[in-house]
Amino acid sequence: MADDAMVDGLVSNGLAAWLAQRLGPAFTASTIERIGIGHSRAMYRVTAADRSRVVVRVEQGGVFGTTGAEESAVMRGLFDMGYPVAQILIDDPTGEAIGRPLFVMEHLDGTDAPGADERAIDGPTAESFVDALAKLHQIDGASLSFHRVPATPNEATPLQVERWRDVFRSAALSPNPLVEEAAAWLVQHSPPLERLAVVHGDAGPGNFVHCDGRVVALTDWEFCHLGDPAEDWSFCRSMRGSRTMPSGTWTRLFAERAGVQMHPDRWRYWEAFNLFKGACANRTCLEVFEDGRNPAPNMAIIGTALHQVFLRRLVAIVHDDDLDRSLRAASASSTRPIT
Amino acid sequence: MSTEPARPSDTSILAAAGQSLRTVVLPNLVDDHARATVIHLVGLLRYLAERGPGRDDLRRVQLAAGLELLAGNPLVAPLWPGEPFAVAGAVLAAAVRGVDPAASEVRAVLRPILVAHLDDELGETTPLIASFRGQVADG
Repeated sequence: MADDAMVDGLVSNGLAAWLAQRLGPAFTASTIERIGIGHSRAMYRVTAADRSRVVVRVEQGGVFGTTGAEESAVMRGLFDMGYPVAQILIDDPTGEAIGRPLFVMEHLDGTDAPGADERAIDGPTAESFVDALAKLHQIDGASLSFHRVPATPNEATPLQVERWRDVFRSAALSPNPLVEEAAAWLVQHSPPLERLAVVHGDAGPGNFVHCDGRVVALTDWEFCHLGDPAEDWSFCRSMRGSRTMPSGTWTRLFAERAGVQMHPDRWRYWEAFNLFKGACANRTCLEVFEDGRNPAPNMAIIGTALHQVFLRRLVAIVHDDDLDRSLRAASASSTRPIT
Repeated sequence: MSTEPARPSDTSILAAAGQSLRTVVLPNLVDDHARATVIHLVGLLRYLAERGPGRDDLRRVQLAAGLELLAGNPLVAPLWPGEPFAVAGAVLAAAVRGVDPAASEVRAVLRPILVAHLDDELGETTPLIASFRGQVADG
């Protein structure tokens, strides 16, 4: 069994004992290793003496304003529907095991070369991912345990804008007028939505397990919600997948595999939405750093520099008068739909 | 009379911490998470050493001056005077709904002030992005 300090000071021998208690005495943890840097959740691979493995996903003091309880509930629902997602084995929403909420899920084998760029994927893997994301968007999310359920599809995007604005407001010491303006702009220009979809919220390379050109499971479900699938396509194209391949290549792939077509103005809208979400979520890291809930140095960096970089890119879009005029004209005219 | 310092300065301690982490601790770390954490910490220490004094009060004054210019604007008048950042947020949000002269005036006055504040802040924090991506900050 690894010594506590050899892991990272957060996981104690108590975790091993707790896992044995919950998974059965046969599961005697022999090693606990941290997987990646994990900003919102700490992830640990726990290997038992018999070489069986589980993954423990631990909350980091309220980072990003999301909860593991909602995440694991949604994952359970998706797993039951046959969607490719890791099976949840144990929930610990109260922090019984190590003082922080966590859940335990099955370990999935995939391409996991040490030191490899997790965002570098080949063509077949990218296609498999797009297929998996399109399949997610077709799921009826009514039976999944979401905390926020919009009354109508058209209310979904404004509800998410409000959610992230409130996350920012509760994390920041003083109002930020640029955030308030962006929130109003996103609501003003929110596109109509015909059907609520299950939106991953953080979709793209690095957030799925893959092997031999095939996606084994999508991971990192903390941002999952009911909303507009365009949010996911845009997020992958302009943020999470931007290092993987050019946005034009993603756009073609989305069109070919999933029939996704969007006007350039609408791509810009969703890029702004995702920057807003990121700017608001990132600000929570400074709060947890300052109040001591999570004093890791990456929290200070995400809560300042990354928050500000996202906000600066967001402001450039919101302050683009040509885009604003075009979106206003589109919403006022029934002859020029932007979908 | 001696002019020797009685204790090490904050600057010297910060420099020692950064150099020790970079040249002594980091080369001996193999664990990815431990390495990333030290690289982030080195970046944060450099940020601490190089950043200027907080400018929140100055920015509040600058924003208040902008709002004062807009005191007769129909979007601003009902809310001003008040807490400058709260008022600016409320009026910019309200201005989103309009393309009239009052909304345009609010945007023309307040946006440059606020964007300048953000750019000023980014001037100090941008080097942290390189640290976040794994580049070790120089001394």
